[in-house]
Formats: sequence, structure tokens, C-alpha cells
Amino acid sequence: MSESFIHVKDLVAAYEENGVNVPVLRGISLDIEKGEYVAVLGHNGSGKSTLAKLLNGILAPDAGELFVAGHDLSNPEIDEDEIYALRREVGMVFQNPDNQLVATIVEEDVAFGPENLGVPSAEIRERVDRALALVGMSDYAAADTNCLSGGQKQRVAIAGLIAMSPSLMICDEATAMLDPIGRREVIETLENLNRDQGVTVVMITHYMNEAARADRVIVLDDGKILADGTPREIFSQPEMLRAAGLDVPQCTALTHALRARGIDLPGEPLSEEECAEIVCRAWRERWTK
Amino acid sequence: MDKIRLEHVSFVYGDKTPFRAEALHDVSLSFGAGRVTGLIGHTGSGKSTMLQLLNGLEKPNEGKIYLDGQDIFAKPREMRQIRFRVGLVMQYPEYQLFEETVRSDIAFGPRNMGLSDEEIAVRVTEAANFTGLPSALLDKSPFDLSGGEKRRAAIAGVMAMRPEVLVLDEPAAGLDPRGRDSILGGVRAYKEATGATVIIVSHSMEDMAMFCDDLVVLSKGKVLFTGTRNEVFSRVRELEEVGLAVPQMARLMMLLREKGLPVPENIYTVSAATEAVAALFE
Amino acid sequence: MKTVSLGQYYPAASPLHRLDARMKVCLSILFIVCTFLAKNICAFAALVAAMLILVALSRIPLRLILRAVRPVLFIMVFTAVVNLFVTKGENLLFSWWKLQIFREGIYNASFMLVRIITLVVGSSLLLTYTTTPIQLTDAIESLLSPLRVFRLPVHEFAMMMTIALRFIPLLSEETAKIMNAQRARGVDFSVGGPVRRVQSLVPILIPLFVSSFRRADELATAMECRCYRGGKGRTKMTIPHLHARDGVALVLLLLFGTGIVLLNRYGYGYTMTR
Repeated sequence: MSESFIHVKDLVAAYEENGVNVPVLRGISLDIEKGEYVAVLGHNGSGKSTLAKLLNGILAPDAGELFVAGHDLSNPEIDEDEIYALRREVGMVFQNPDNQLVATIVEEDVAFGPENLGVPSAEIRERVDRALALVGMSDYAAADTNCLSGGQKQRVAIAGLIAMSPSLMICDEATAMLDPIGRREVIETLENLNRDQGVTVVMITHYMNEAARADRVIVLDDGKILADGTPREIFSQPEMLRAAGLDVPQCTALTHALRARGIDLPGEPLSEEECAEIVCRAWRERWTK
Repeated sequence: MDKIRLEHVSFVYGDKTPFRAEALHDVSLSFGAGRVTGLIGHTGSGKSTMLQLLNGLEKPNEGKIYLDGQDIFAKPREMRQIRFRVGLVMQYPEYQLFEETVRSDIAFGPRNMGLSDEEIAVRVTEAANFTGLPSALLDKSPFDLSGGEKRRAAIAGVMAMRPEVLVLDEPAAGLDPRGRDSILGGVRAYKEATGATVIIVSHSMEDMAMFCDDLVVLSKGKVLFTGTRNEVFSRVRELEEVGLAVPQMARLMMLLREKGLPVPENIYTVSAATEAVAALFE
Repeated sequence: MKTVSLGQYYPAASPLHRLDARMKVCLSILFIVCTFLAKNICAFAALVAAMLILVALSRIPLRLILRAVRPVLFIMVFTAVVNLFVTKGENLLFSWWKLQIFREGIYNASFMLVRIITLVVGSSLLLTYTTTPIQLTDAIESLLSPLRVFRLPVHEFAMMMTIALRFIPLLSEETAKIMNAQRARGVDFSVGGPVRRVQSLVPILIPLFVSSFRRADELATAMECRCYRGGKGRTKMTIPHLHARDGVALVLLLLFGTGIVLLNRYGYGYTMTR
């Protein structure tokens, strides 16, 4: 068995359509350690959602090794109890905020997971209050979920997972249906959980500015890993990003275009502030010489 | 020339109930003929409501809406004609698909217009071309398409009515960069071929900067400001004050100006920014 | 933002709102029994008095309470008319062709009217107006739980109710959206004969079904990911407790029932035959 928290080796997954075998993941290998905040980037159909579903036992791999939190998911004889044991540790946030909340009242929805686990009532109460506080939704405990914004609904969904005390959170395009404010709320919530609670986060997305804030970025294309590194390493390769059907962050595109014109700019800016700083310094040097 | 003009329009949801909520308050503005106007604002600022007023799906509690100078609510019996002239693509329009094939779904609008079969066939092919739907997909069930293809089929269904005004509510929401580019490319193709007026809502300021001639900023049911793209995006700090983003390059240029670098205003795209910054070093 | 309100729940801080939902289910059944027990004018007067006390206790505007009676107006009129003409008695008041009205008929008709009004108003005040649909679902699950012995799927039924309550407002909002999308493509729901109108529902119903199935599928996956495996081994966050006030309410209503029975026996005036 592997030492890593998530260990994936030569993983292959496919689905059948009209009797034809369509490969989705064509042999990917990666290891994720406890406490990491990893963004998985890729266009639609790159296999990133399939990877998320494999990590949570919703789908089973066709070949390769897949260990998550000590559970061997590549074992074809894995029993239902072990899948449920895995899901206690691995929380999954889905794309559509409306289709993952079960109860109408916020706190009752958050209680759903621990209730399923058979946690004693008094402890459920504590867990629910703590989870709602962690996502900043304590004031809405008795609110109707249908009256919340998209970002708030996703935060309730996250609280529902926190209440089960998972060590890993997988977000399958959890921000794709949100407006910019909702997106920021969800990302900040996840970052806090990662930093303060040590929860490992795997964030599946196609938004570059979300990936820029991760510790590590993995780029998937056509069922294969195209790149794996820090945001700065990944964003310094605009051609690779374009080939993967992704946006090149505008500051990256600008610095690369300027370098192509012979302007020497040091480093890889990830934000407008960093970019302005780099340009300003280069400009001062240019005219003081 | 104004294509659509709103005069003192107010709209209230659930009037005379405990849930009364004012969505638009005394809004007066106009959309220029043949221009692309972007609508910017937070969720709940009244954007979606405004779009539904433009083709008469909702009726304002107060005020008038004119299309080519004619009050659209003057003849309730001709409301359908207004809807054919002002085509509305709602948010997540793929949820409106229902026919057995993509072809007949795109043809649904033209059929309701009472067009001949030949004309309908022409319109369907044309609309599929605008949105870049390959003809092989037209005889498939719309429910077998990918997310991005479904979105394109739904937009083609509105384009097939060949509206003079094309109104789109976040047409690229939730799509990946390729999907977004193909949708926006389709809207551009439609506009260039027909000279239609386009009104579009998007949360991506970069898309708005690339795409729009004019911008309208809504906040809490009121017009905060309107103007050409340059006029609106030059107000970086004011936009940020109401919590709205500005295009990344506009923000970068403002930061450079604040550091004392002489960069011009009105820069929103990477290529324009490259030229402007390169000029600093020569 | 449009708000969809489900059921008739009226938020207020009244003694009726504070009662335990399970107790309220029992109380309203008891109250309904009382309305059927009442037989003479004294008993009916007591019923009306009890109803007025409930109205006062509930702190719900009278206008809203009267709205509850509106749907049963036809039944009320119908029952009253039938009773008026069918009841045969000793004091003939009016006769024309085959129609006869006896004094007993007038009594019966007015008693029936009072019975229906007190029944509808009493039970809606005790239940639907003062209990949220969620509390009601939980109460029904809790009251039915002994039936598990007979292998009745009580938990599954309650879970279905919970999910339905959560998704009904969403689906109604979605219906409005799809209708607008199709109206934007030229569907006119207000013209044409019945066939045309039914036809124009197809573009609404198909997308609605497709979307409901997709939602159901996604929700089922999400529930499984949250370790849902049916009712077995499940605990609940809130275990409802009965309070002193629930006991007091029960005793009061039982006393009231006894009062009705006594009034039937010792009261005066005409006694209903049925």
C-alpha cells in the first residue's frame, strides 16, 4: 500500500456508448499528500469530472492503482461498506447547488450526513453548529434553503460535508454556476478549511483565477496529465494552456508578449498587482541606465 | 438611432403581497440600433428582469418601452410579433429543448411564426451555421448533445426567428473557455450577417470589453451609468466601489498610472496593453 | 426575487405555533371528533366558542382564516340545501309541489353549516396555519413510526415528503422559466381551443420532466455521497420533546370533548337526528 493520501498510478477509465468503448482517462499517475490544496484544470471532456468521481467511489476504474485515504478503490471486489467508509472521509461538492441539498431548512440539511452516520443527537447538534460557523452561515441556521443565493447554498453544502468531518474535499466545478460574488465566497471558504482545519482540497475547475490561488495545479487534456506544478510553473507555459483549451491569464499573456518584444521582465506575475510591480521596476531600470 | 427605448420603467414583483420586491425603479435608457450593448450588475440588480421586459414577457408597472418608436404594449394582440422581433435567449437556455431532433427544435420558433417549410429549412441551416453546429448533429436528439452543443442548439432556436434585436442573458455561463468562445463567436456571426442590435448580460468583464460597443451598469434596480465601453470602463474606482470588477488590463493600466507610468486610458485587451507598455520602453 | 410560499403556514409567535406538531395532529383529530359529536344547539354553541378562542389564540388575521373556508363553500351550501329539504320532521313550515321544509330541516341545515365551518377553521388553525410543512412531515413520521413493526416504509415515506417539500418551490420556479423561454419562441398559451392548449403544454412538460429526472439523479448521487443508506442506523439531530403546555392543551381539549357529550345529554332544544 502507498504512503500518499491519494495515490493514482496508470489509472484508466472508460465508458461504453452504443457498444463502443470510449476512453476518458488514459493512464494518469499522481500523488497528493494530506493538507495539499490542488486545482485540477481542464476543458469539458478532458476527464477531470471522471477523476473526481473515481476518487469518491462513484465510478470504478478499469485499470491501474487508486488508493484514497487508505482505501484500495482499484480492488474490483471492494464491498459497499468500504465505499461508505471512504465517503465518511471524502466529501464531494457538486456543480448544481440546488441538486445536493436534501432538506428545506439549512441546519436540517447540514445534519443529514451525521444523521446517516448514526452520530448521537447531542453531538450532531455540536457538529452542525461548528460546521455552519466554519462556513460563515450560522446566522442562516433556521433559514429556508430556497431563499439563499447560489454561493450561500454551496456553503451550506460544504457545511453538510464538514459535519461528517472529512479529511478530503473534492469540488467538481462547484463554482461554475455561481456569480463572481458567490464564487469568491466558496473559494474563500475552501481556503479557510484547508488552512485552518488541514482539510485536503481537490478543486476541479476551468477558472484560471481559482487555480492561481492553489498550492499546486494539475492540467488534464484528453485523459492525460499535461502538466503538474505550482501555479507559477503552470502559468509560465501559455502555449501548453492554449493547447489544453484553457484561458491564459491575461497578465501572463501580457508579460510573455512583452518578452517576445525584447523587454526583460523577471518572474511570473499571478495578479495585476504583481504584474504592475514587475513592469514598473523594469521601466525604472530602463530609464535610469 | 435608438432601437429600443425605456422611459421611466419600474417593475415590482409580487405587488400588494407581503413579498413585494422592486426590481427596477424609474429606469430610462436606450439601446442603439445595430450596436452591441452590455448589461453589467450584480445578481439581483434587475438585469434579468429588464431583459424580460424588452420582449414583453413581463409588463412594467409603470413606464413605457418603445421598439422603433412604437410602444410594445400598445397592442396586446400583437405581442407575439414583438417577441419574434426581439429574440430572448434566457439563462441556461438548453433547458428549453424538447423536440425529438435538434433540427425540429431549432425550427420551433419559425414554425410558430407561420413560415413556409422551405423558409423554415433555410432558417434552420442558417442558424446552425451561425452557432457552428455541424449538420451531422441536426438529426440527433437534443438530449444526446454535450452541454456546449445543447447551449448552441438553444441559441440557434432563437436566431432562427431572425430577430432584429438579439437579447442574451449570460449566454456563456458555466461553459469552459472553448464553449464560451464558440457561443460568443456565434453571436458575432449573427450580428455581422444580419446587422441586428445585440443586448448581452455577462459577469466576465473581459468578455464585455472584447464584445460590446456600449455598456449599461445597473445597481439595485437603477441605472448607475451608461455610455460607450471606454466611458464606462474608465471609471475603474467607481465600479470597484459598487463591488463590480473591471477588465484585468484596465485595472493593470490604472495601477501603472498610479505608480506614475504614463500609460494611456481606454485599454482593455492584452494586445492593446502590450502596445501601450512596449511604447514605455522605447 | 419571487418567493414561493408553500401551504398556508402563517409565521407568528402564538401559543398555537408553539405547541408540538405531533400534539397538534392529535388535537386536530380530537377537535374534528368533537365537531361530529355535537348534536344540539348548546353543543354547537360551545363549538363556535371554542373556534373563536382558537382564532384569538392563533394571532392570524381573520381575513386569512376566512380564506380557508372558501374552497369548501360549495360543499357547505350543498350539504345545507340537502339537509334543508331531506329532513322530515313534525313541524311543516313550507310546502310546494314535492318540496317540503320542516323546522327540523332548518335546524339540521344550520347545524351542518356550523359543523363544517368549525371543522375547517379549527383543523386549519391547529395544523396548516400554525405548523410548517416540515414540522408536519416530521410529526407524521414520528406518529406513524410504530407501524414499522408491520414493515411499513415509514422512514422512506417521510424522506419522500421532505424531498418533495424542498423541490416543489424549485420546480414551480423552473416551470415559470421554461414557460417564458417558450413564450419567447412564440408559444401563446392563451389562444386556441382545448386541443391546441394541451398541445402547447408539450414544450413545457418535456423539459420539465427531463430536468426533474436530472435533478433526481444528481440528488441521489449527492445523498449517497453523504452516506445515506436508508433509515437503518440513522439518528436524528432534534428529538422533539413534549412540554407542559402540550399536556395542558390535551387536557383542555379532552375536557371540552366531555363537555360536548354532557351538553348533548343535558342541554335543551332540538337534537340532531343524524
